Amino acid sequence: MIIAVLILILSLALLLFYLQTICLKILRQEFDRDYFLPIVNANRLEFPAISKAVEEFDAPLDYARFCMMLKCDFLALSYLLKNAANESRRYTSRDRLLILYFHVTYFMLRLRHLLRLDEKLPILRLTAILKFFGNVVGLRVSSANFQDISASDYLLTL
Amino acid sequence: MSANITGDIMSYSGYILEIALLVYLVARGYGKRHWEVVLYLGASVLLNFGRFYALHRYGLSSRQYSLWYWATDLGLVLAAFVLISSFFRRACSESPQMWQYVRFLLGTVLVAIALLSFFSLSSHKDKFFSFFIVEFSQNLYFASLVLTTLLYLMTLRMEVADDRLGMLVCGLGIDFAGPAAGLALTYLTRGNEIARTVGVYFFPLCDIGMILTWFYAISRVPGVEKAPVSRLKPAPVFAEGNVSRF
Repeated sequence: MIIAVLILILSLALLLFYLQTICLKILRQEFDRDYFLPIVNANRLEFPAISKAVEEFDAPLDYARFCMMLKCDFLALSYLLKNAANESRRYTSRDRLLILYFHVTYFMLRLRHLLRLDEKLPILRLTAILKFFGNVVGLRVSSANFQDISASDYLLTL
Repeated sequence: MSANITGDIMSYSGYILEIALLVYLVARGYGKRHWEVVLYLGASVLLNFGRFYALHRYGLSSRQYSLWYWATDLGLVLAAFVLISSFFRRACSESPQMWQYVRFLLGTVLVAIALLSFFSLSSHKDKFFSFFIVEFSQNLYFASLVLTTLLYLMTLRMEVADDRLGMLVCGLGIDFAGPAAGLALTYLTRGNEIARTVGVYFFPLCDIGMILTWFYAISRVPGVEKAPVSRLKPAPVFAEGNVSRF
């Protein structure tokens, strides 16, 4: 009985570990340039500023403000991920996994805040996910061919 | 939609994905490079066809189908052992001495598991279809999970440059961790409704998770052949004069 309980706990822990490792390995994927920058500028996203503030300055975190900024950026990027230069207008399995990972990490951030633990690591993870989404959207937009389509043509296809 | 139909749809999706990955590997010419994955997927597809045949021939509640089901499960774990061993071989490609040690360790583990299984199964012959077989499978899956985790830790320790291998190992980890946890839960709850529901949804979900991870690893993650390990270039001639030779 005890062995079965141990196996259950360890297996569940390892399952979560492997899922997180897969997400981190996906996030580590390198892009040949920073595709996220034009997307950040065009949509006034704030996650690079959060990342910079957390990494470079050892100032106390403005938890409520950062949470709001991250959530708003996530909503904007997840919309773009689904609709910008995406013919199928659907998330891929990878996108869905990373969206789930964002929600779990966001929950962990709130939990750590409640328990008064260090919040930097989950914030950096969240900004890494948003940066990846920005890179994916930027790459799609830069490789999409809009030459023959006028603005009205594009809107009619929506 | 009833739980059974949803579970069936998920199981069939897993089998279709397995076949699709097998076809993808062969059609794209990855068959030789990833022979171990092809072997594992081939064995899985064949054994699953065998399960379908037994199911249609004998029925779900028959003794023959139960026997065939657990025997194929054992076959799948053995195929996975071959897969893990070949991943260990690949991880040790830069260090032949390490491979000598790992090979001995893997051989010992295989012999130990075979002997334990033989004695355990032969001593429980009469109550084979009780919870003994669930416990037995749970232990086998957990042993495979421990081996997979050792493999993953070894790739980290040896700083293996093959990112694709790391991703394949993570996929395998999901496929072992899920069933090991599910079988442990079944054993602990003595097969009540919760455990059955977990079995119906969770096992196929782990299968699908592994196949999708492998798909991603093979189609998107560069293997070691595309990312050659950078070696130090010899110093230019004009720099040699400044280096004293002791």
